Amino acid sequence: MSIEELFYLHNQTIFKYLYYLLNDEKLAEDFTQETFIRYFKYEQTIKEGAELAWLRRTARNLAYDHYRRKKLIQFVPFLNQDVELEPSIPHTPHQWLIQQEEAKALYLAINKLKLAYRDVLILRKIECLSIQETCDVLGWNEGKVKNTLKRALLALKKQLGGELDEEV
Amino acid sequence: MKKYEESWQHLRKLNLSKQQQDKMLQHITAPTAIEFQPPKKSWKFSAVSMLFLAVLTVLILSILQEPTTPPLTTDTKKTITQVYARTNEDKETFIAKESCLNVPQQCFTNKQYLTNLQLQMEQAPTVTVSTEQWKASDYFSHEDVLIIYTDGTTQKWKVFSNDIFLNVQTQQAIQLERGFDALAYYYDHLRSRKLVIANIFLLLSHLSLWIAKKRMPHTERRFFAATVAHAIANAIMLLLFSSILFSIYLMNNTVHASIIFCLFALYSAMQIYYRKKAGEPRGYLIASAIVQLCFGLGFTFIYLTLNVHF
Repeated sequence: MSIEELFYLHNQTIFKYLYYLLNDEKLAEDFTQETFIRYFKYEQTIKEGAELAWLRRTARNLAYDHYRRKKLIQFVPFLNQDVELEPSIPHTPHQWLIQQEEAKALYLAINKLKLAYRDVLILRKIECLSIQETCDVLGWNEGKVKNTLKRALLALKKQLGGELDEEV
Repeated sequence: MKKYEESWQHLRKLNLSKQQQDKMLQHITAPTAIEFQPPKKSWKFSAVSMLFLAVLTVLILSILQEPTTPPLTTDTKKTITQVYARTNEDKETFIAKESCLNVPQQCFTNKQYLTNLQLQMEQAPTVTVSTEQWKASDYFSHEDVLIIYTDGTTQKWKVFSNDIFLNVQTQQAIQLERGFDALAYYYDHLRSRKLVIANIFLLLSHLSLWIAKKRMPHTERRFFAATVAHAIANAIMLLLFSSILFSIYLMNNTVHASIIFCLFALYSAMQIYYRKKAGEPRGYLIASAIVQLCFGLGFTFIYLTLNVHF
């Protein structure tokens, strides 16, 4: 698979994952770019068929390293809601995202959760990965994924004022 | 209760525009020369590097120090105040030194022990020692025993077969009633207490590590090293420090405890420094410092148990 083909195949997935994890469009773009640069650097060592898993893990590591450097891993560094939601640059993914009121509320609620909860919610509910695929990306066991998802949904429900009815 | 299914769908549809994707791909496939230029860094000396250099300088200077030889006397009323013993198989050299801080050697300051040893030495009959006897006594290790008296004078004895004392200066030999190692064993009443304290510190280090991992699970796999660079630096430092200690040991037949403590403190400081630099959380830095401290204290007490008899 050529560089262009691989990029166009997976860049949206990686960007989406990073965007919801980092809450910063520019940073998500930069890290998506960095993920693919790393992929091409270590291409020879990556098994065929495992490209997306490798990209997801690298993206996750980049995001976690970013939080660790910023010392923000223990709490949620969410952006100031009022400032960030002002439509300064039109037609960006962020602007598109907040067009729907309910989706905006959900997005804001997710971003108020702690990083582990956000991570598992993105992978299971947005990326729609299976339990096993989530285990592979996060490096957790099945029990931990299920438990964390359960707690994440409870925390999300609390953030939404009790208005959520989701199953694990 | 809402299902929010439409909202999840909306979140799933988030996409980059074609223009954004093309721009990104362009950056990936055609990096500019500037991007690949390694950044030029000016020479900088961190506080830890300065500390490292300072400690190394002190160590080198301490190696160059000459040992002093105390005077001899024939005063008969003197009593023993301290005894230092060191295993030495070489008949020609005498390597025991006057300090409890010289590692590794036995240090005795227990009053009861010293009185008993003096009494035994005074009552011991004189014997003659041949070279064959010296060579044949290989069941017990040979010891160099340095005895310090109240008037500041010293006596150097070579002990073999566990009970024969040969005076290095006068070549006179005496045979004690009881074995030398038995004396040490019976008169250290604090031995078990020191061992318990040592174990408490070692358990504390494990406990603090466990608590740190429990509270900060995301750093679970990074306790030994914060980053790859840290792991490499760690390995280099351990190798360097052990080489320094081994070189000092080869040159002086002993290593002063202060040198070991200095190097360990420096190693611990560098551990914390690297972790801080790598952005580890404050709690983890504190846990790491506690672990280092507990290790240091634990091993100090183990050493005291085995070698220093108060």
